[in-house]
Amino acid sequence: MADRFDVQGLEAGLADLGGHLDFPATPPLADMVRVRLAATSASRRRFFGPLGRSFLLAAAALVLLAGIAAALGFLVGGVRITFTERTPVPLPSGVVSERNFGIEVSLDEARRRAGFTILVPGAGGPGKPDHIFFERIPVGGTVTLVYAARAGYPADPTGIGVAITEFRGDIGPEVFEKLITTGTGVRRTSVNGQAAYWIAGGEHFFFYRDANGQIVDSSMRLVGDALVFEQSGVTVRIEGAGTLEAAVRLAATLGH
Amino acid sequence: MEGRPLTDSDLIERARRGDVAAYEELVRRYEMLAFRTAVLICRDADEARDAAQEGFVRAWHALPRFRAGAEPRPWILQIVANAARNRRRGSTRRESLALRLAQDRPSGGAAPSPEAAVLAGERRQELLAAVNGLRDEDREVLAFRWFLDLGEAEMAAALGIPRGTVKSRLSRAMGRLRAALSADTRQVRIDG
Repeated sequence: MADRFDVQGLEAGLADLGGHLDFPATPPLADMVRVRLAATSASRRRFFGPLGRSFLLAAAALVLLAGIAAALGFLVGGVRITFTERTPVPLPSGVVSERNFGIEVSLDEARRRAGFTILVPGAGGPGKPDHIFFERIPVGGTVTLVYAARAGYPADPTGIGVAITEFRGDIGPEVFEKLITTGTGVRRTSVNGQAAYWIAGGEHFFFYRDANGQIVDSSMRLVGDALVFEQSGVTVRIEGAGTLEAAVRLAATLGH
Repeated sequence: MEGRPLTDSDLIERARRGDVAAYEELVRRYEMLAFRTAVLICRDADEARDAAQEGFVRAWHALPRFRAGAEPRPWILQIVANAARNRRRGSTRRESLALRLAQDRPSGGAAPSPEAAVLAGERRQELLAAVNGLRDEDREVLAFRWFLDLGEAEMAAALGIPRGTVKSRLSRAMGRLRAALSADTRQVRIDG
């Protein structure tokens, strides 16, 4: 009889143990991956090669660094909106559809993981989000509520109707920044009595700096017309509402 | 060939031509293995879920570089394992998920006597505690071999080491596991 500590005995014991382990339940990865690919990859795969993408991001980062040095800026919660004097580089259309929202999660899970209280549309809003994504950066994470195109919210090039992105507004040096090219207008407005900004009519970058002041490109993407404001300590960006009035109406429905 | 079940290689070829449904089926076939691989690396179920999802998305984008005729399984495992290691390195979570024994379920066969069941349970618990107490490198190689039943090429891919190194690493880990169990037994005798 094999000793349970000799090689044969140990191998038999480990094989037996493998059949009695309690692994966490496997999540529905195939469904999650299908949704993620539908949201992010269609045009990305057509447009970007690894080399081209690296070059593009590196070039964009350089332009951003140069532009920021001479820029004027102001803060809305965790967002710094920064103006430059000229269009930095011609922007390939493929960038517009690069939407890296993070990992798809349920609303309950997003609430559990986010380091802030998530705002969701209430009465008069577009209803329950079709997809919810969570990204771990910056501190407290970023939650994005995504709605497919519907009445009042026509599809953007990736098929998304409206996207509501939220992150903590008190993130100190880890601020989001926007670089707005010439031709982009910024209009001050208000949501529930608080200052808000409607950024429209041109292309702009979205990225953030980490605590060391380094630009992190994982969230770098172009976004469409957007309403940016702060509510209850949460910075909110609404993209795809179409008009300032529609975006403000949607923003006014947000609550816990 | 209508009606023939598609092989993994069929699916990956279709996916390389842009067939998302074929890729989804491939993910469905591997999702449990990929997730458990990530659990063993991350030791955190949430991180493992994110890593597995990220790995599958990365693999989709890497399909043009997949070598035609190669085995998809080690290739996917390697990408998922890399994603899991990156997540583990970047994670600020301090707590870690230890492997646990499942509640014994009726097997349908002849039930062991209560005494035999208790003894088997105690032995499993002892062995599992020793495995959980090993350093990551040893625990992973043993778990991939015995808990996930990976082959040598798959273990090399998941561990990120050359295939020729797998046997020696496994052998060293077995030796350290045996030493840990022997030490525990001696301690019990002294205490007893």
